[in-house]
Amino acid sequence: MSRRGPQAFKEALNSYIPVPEAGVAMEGEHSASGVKYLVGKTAAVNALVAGFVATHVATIFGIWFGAAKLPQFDFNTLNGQIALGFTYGKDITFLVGALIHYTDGILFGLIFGLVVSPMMGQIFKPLSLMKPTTNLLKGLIWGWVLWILSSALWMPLLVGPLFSGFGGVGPFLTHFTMFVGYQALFANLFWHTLWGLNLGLLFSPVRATSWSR
Amino acid sequence: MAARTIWVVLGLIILGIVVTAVGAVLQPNSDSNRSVTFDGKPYTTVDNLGVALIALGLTFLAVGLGFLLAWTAERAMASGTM
Repeated sequence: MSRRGPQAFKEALNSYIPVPEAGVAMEGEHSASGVKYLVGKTAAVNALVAGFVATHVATIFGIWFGAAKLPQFDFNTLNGQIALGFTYGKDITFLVGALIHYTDGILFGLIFGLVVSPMMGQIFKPLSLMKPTTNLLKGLIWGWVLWILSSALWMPLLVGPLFSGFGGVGPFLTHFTMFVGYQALFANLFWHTLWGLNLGLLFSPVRATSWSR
Repeated sequence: MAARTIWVVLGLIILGIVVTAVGAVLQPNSDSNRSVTFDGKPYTTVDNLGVALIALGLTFLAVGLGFLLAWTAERAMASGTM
């Protein structure tokens, strides 16, 4: 039967281009893209898990910082105090803060997996290689970007009013006095390096052809 | 390429250990190790340089160990053992 007439217009004009089914394109080990992830079959699932693990590991290390003579980074309590003030008990403040903090960390991981990581590969060609070392470097870069953002923008704005009675904070987390010195800036760098490190190690898409598992 | 990578990783780890050790020596007041606690308590005086060097050294160390892990995974994938 001839395909001329109205029947011909039921197909897209570019139908000769193979189009993957909705939902499986560009991700997953069964997708046409041939990309494999350490966890799950999609970039979103892997990024969510990586974001959670990275946030949890960095948060626990932050609480342990005191053992290495570093300032303790208890982001759970800090977030709780920002949200609730000092009106609730320590446990409630910690748990509410943890909910906020973990949500932030997981969402930043998701943004990394779905947006930042692919974009880095497009902008910087050496970062387009799907290798564990390249993926780790991308995670570290994203962690350092968030370190700059948190130090320069968010933490002074959030922490400053909260702790104004103790000397407050200034640009880049510190106003370089005896109360809060530039050491907090570097401790914050270490925290975000740990976060980016775990994110880059766990969100590690590779070509299926280079993986024999 | 692989040899250069492992030397860079080893360099980062050694640099991290050295910088951390220097920071630990410079930080004199071990009693006030929790120099800044973001939980509303008053801050205590610390040696900024010492603590900053400890944090920087541990950062180098973490990056070095991270690349060692990633490099090992890469080699395992290339050899088909992973």
